[in-house]
Amino acid sequence: MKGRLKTGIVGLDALLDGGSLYHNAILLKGPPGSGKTTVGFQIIRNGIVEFGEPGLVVSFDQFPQQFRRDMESFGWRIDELIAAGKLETLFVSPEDLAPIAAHLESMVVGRIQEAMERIGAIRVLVDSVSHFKRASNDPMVQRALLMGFINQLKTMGMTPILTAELTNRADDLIDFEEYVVDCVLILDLLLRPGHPLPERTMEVRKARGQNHIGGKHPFKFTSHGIEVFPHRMPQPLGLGDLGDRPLGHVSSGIAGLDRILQGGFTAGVPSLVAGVSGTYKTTVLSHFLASGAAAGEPGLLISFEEPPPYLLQVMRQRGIELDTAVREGRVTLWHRVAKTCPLDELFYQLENEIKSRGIRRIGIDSLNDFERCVPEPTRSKDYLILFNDLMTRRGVSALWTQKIDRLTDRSPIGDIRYLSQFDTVVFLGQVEIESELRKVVSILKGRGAKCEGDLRAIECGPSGLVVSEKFHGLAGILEGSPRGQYKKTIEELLQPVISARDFLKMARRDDVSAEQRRLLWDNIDTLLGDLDTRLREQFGIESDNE
Amino acid sequence: MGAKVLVVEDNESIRSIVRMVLEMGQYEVVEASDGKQALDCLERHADCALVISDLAMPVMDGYELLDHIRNVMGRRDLPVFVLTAEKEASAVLEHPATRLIRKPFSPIELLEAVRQAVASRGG
Repeated sequence: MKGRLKTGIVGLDALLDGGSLYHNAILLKGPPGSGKTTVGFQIIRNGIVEFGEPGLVVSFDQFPQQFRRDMESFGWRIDELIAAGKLETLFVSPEDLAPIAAHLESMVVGRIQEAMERIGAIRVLVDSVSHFKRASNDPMVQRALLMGFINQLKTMGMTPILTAELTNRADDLIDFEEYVVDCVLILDLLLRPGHPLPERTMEVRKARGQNHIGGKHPFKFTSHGIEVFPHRMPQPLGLGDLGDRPLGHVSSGIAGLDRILQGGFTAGVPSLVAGVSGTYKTTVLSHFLASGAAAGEPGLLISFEEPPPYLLQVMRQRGIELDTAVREGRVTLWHRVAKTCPLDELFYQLENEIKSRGIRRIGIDSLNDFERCVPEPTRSKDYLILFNDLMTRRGVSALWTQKIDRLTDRSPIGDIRYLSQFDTVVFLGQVEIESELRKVVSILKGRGAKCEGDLRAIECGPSGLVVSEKFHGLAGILEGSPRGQYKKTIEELLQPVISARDFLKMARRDDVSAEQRRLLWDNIDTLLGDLDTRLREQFGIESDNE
Repeated sequence: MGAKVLVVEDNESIRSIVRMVLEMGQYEVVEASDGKQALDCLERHADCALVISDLAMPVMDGYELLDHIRNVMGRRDLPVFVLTAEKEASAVLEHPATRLIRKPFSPIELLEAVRQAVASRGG
């Protein structure tokens, strides 16, 4: 047969550049519990159900009942496939393989031939060929035996799929069976430092006569079999790659923030909201998504910290209406737990979600937790670039949050990681001004737009966040030592003084009536009284009680 | 009682001073502490001859209020004084019927500006 034998396993055919070549013997190798039998049978089962290719299973490892139970846990109806004449199973005791090859011929090959002819089998799973070592202690005999067996299966017109135990982990020690097959898939379980769960990986170590993607790629067991998540690399962007890229800006959902961003975040590119803990980063994200939902732009929030019910409750309390948008499907909330969330798998889920739901806005909370999911810390930036590349290619406006533990320098820019990966960077901080803790916002980076660099107050009102006045005349705010005059102080101290002075001028005029003069004196008295009270409060001086 | 003036300011001290100034000029004063309240007041007091508004306010700030007055309510002729301490005014404030008043302001100058604005409307 020509063309590609498709495994039908999500991600695996991509690793094999579209599938394996027919009649190429495939070896699935791995330690106990790595999924060899499952992958092997899934290839057989998919061949029958999806590609109309009957299959055969030859098992030296398991009892029939055990095999049936294990495979039916994935919803695969073995009896139905057998009844339909598309599948045959052959269970052979390992003892029947010893001590010489003649037993193999009489006990196994003949029965395989008969079964193949009955159903026209195209694919055959042999689980596992490690038992061939029983036939002889001589590696050369073992190799010749296995090669002869594989060739007989190929001569029958079938594509052999073999499983074997992984015994040598060292790269320079390759077991004999890898030499005699055409395609080698290594399944493994890796326990990485700092990660509580082992990572399952699949590697195409060899694929004779065809292209393949090398390296170790994560996979997982699902309720319907194995899924593989080939690790992707970002590709250079050409002019034609951006598709229906949105132009202009997208609203942050906060009017004052849109103003200082000259319209909002740049559409179709990633931006960042960075700040210390408790400075409304997640709230800004929620505004962004709620605003998008209201504008007909479906959104997705990936939260590594807050579970959705808690997040919705907090946003409700802050006056941000997300519940309806979530209920109506205009915003989706994903909760992922850092360190147990494989990013390669998340990448595929994200890609599918963008395609299937037409997602236009994505919020990721937070970059810090995203980094904890990276299998090797040195690859954090690679994964960030990969995710941003995906979202940019699809024209999705993305907003990340990043927690800064503490400001180590006068400017927070030095504390923000991966600055170059974001188009716009909004900083949220917390400062003490006149014994009051105030939250502040500033634009640290705004590529392609004239953005203000001033610090402004940001507060949470009944309808969410409000960006208000600049901190005029104050220096050293981010250092934690604000110096100078504050607008509120000017309003509450200087304005009354100026007003009292003006009222005094008016009271001295000859054209003012007695009633108006009395009113002016009353106003002066009120202003000076209020000023007296405020100054005493500010400096902690007790009142006269006069 | 003279023309009606709406004062929109979240700072009670400033709001009180503006009230004092307007009452000196015998104007009727309506107060609001944010833009949303101001819109409610304008609905109830459609005969307001002038709005004096701060820019930085919670719930709805002066920019949004002004945008709503001009573009949603269509009140392009209603004089609006914007009180601000900001050094540079946003372009959105540029309108024939909008005037910037810098804080801290002189009550004498404010009163004179109010008289001129109301008089120009025939009030």
